[in-house]
Amino acid sequence: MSGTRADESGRHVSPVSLPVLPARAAVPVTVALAGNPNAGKTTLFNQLTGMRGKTANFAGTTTSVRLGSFPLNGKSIQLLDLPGLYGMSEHKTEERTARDALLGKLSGRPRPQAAIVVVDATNLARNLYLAGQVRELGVPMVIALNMIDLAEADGLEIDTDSLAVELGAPVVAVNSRSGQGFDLLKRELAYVLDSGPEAMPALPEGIAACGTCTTCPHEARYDWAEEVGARAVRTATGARLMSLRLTEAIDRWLTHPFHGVAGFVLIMAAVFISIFTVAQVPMAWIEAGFGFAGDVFGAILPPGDLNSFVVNGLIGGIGGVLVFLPQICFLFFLITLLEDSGYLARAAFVADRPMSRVGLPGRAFVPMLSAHACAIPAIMSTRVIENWRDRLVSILVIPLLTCTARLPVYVMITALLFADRPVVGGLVFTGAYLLGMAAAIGMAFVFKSTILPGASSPLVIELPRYRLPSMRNALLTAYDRGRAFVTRAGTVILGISVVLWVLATYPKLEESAWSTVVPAETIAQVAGLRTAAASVASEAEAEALEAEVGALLSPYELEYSVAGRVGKAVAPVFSPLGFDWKINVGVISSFAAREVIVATLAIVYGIGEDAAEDEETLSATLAAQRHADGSPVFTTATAMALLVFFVLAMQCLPTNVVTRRETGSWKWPALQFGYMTVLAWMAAFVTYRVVSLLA
Amino acid sequence: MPPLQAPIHPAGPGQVPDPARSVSANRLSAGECGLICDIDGDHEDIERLKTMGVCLGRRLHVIKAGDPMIVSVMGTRLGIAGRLAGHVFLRPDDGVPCHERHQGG
Ligand SMILES: Nc1nc2c(ncn2[C@@H]2O[C@H](COP(=O)(O)OP(=O)(O)O)[C@@H](O)[C@H]2O)c(=O)[nH]1
Ligand SMILES: [Mg+2]
Repeated sequence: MSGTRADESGRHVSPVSLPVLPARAAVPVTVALAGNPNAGKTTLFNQLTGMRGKTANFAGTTTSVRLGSFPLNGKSIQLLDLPGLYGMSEHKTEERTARDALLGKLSGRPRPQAAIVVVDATNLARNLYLAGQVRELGVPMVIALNMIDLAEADGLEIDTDSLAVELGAPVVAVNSRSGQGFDLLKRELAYVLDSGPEAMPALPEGIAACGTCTTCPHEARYDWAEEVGARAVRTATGARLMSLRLTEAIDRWLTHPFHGVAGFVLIMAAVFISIFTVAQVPMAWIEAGFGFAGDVFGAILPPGDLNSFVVNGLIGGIGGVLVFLPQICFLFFLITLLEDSGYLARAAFVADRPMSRVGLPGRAFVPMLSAHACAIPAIMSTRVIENWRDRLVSILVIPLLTCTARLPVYVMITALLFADRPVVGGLVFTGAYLLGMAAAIGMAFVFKSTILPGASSPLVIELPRYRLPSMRNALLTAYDRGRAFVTRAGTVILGISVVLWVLATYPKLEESAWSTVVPAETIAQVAGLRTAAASVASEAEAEALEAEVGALLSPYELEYSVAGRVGKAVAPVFSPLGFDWKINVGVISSFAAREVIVATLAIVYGIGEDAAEDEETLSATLAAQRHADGSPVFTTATAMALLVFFVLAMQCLPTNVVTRRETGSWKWPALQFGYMTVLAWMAAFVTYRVVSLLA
Repeated sequence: MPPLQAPIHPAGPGQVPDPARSVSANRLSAGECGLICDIDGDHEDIERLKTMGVCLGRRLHVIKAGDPMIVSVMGTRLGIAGRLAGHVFLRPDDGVPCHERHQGG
């Protein structure tokens, strides 16, 4: 395969020796990457830039691009991976954004000096439609005729020379997986960049004619693309049909109304189960690691605010973020494998009909499945949903699905209520999951019939040929998503946990203020311990006694803090649900991450944070709690109400922040927070009443 | 944007399809094909269909009937909801049988 360039007169010249780029060092050179979905843009991007890509949003839009750089003739070239496009239609936001990006009309981004148009060689005519449109824009460009290995295996012979003439741009055959043809691609790119737009050959007549045709521009362009494609490709008979037959045979099963659904359920269940089994192993390591770090720093630092800040605020906060990382990376690893193989398009195809009953498109299924790990990456991955209203509804309901952070709460409550009846406990646990799903479906339906009306936009999806997925792509995507989670959500979660630490620590309970919150008998106990400490001989014993004093006082310190006061202040709101002010403190503290309520309840009920990890101690303590009048705090009704509240409530500010990023406005996270809180409260209230009546 | 409605045919200016000969894509069964002679409506979803190659003059081949259905256009296999396929009208492509024309995707 050789790269060929058409000069102004339409003659082809072979690539000339490397031109030296003039030293315009100050201006960074930007090259945009355009192509149909599945043409191999991401693979080409990774091959050119290595691991140096990062995902970003165009300023002021929700269209995401990948940015990276690679060296070319000693200069660093910025590479911009545009979203996959079928054309330059004005009707689709992404396509309009891509067009504006190519023309340099987007604020904050310079006009790219050149474009690489990635064209799938196995499907030339269809891909030339876009190539022709980019060519019309007048951006200097190089065509990367990708998947040349597959085209050859199909027995296709492509005449790059004639293509270059018809398009008025150099055409280089490449294999983005192996890197074959990349040297030539870079040389052609360097040449195009060097000679600038003035040196571009005139727009070929065939393309120019498409742009001026007024009746059906699509038709004229497709006629052109089909003719050019037909002229450039010679098919060896027989060979091509093989890989196609395979795809058709697999599709007969996987898109079948019955087997297809069964296959879909099996594959999705496998993904779901494996994120909870495989990812659990590294999650346990991370938890253990942070637990150990907490112990070490807790022992090294002198007792006091700094100690508590480092152990609870910082290490606890960072650990709370990182513990989800294995699950998120593993999930995206699997999803990328499925996507690359071509299955994900079939999944959307199969899921479309059942999903459309609730007004959502089939493409919303995978984000909703991901939400069972964590709502944050799920919301980020709703970008696959083309229609804005459909996407918005999905974003609004995704936090209702049971994410991993809720599981410790479910475990705590089922252990508390049904420790001796594991079957009932299991049923309640499953019920909590189902409640989340039912609420998500129901709310999607409500939104679709009220503020975001309309049926889901009807399915149109390309079903690419099945391919062996690339490990490298999957690993890179997993890394990319993991990093996006840590940088976007991580900083927010860490920030919130620091703020909550402050709220739960200050104002400090000075000895002079003891009488306001600490009961007399505890004060007497403390005094006793202190006298004992003064008389013991060894320092170690004295420290142990002092620690005991700390443990005795810690519930009152929390009560005295801002968090404790807020917990009391909101008591009228939550008392209809059977919550006391201590549970309220737990609810408030769980805003950084839901699972924090477990540790908080352990502190307010005075068993110390370490005991939270020991289920039995915790549930025994909770079960023993009494109101002032001697009635138990954690009745079945209260505990069930708390469970229902946690299934439905938007106890996760980081998710709100990500919703803000993805929707570009605070209106939607506000709605999300508002409706979920109201829903959770009402459902918990009903639960409390009903269970109280039954019990 | 008005919601998609059941297509009313024959449509608009330009080539008026012969009602006796044109048939909407969702009525075909697997293996059948035709030339696209009319697409009615200018809904954004119809526009989406057009940019993906389901456009006047292209040959459409039904791979799997039903809702959603699978068609092949310009060498690409597309999954399309039945309610969209109802807006695409085909006329028989005389002469050459479908399977010889079908290029697959
Ligand atoms: N055999 C082969 N496969 C490729 C090549 N380029 C991309 N692929 C595969 O094609 C699929 C789609 O590629 P991707 O880069 O995700 O496409 P994008 O949608 O344009 O970003 C993946 O499975 C890739 O591994 C190539 O040159 N040869
Ligand atoms: Mg991609």
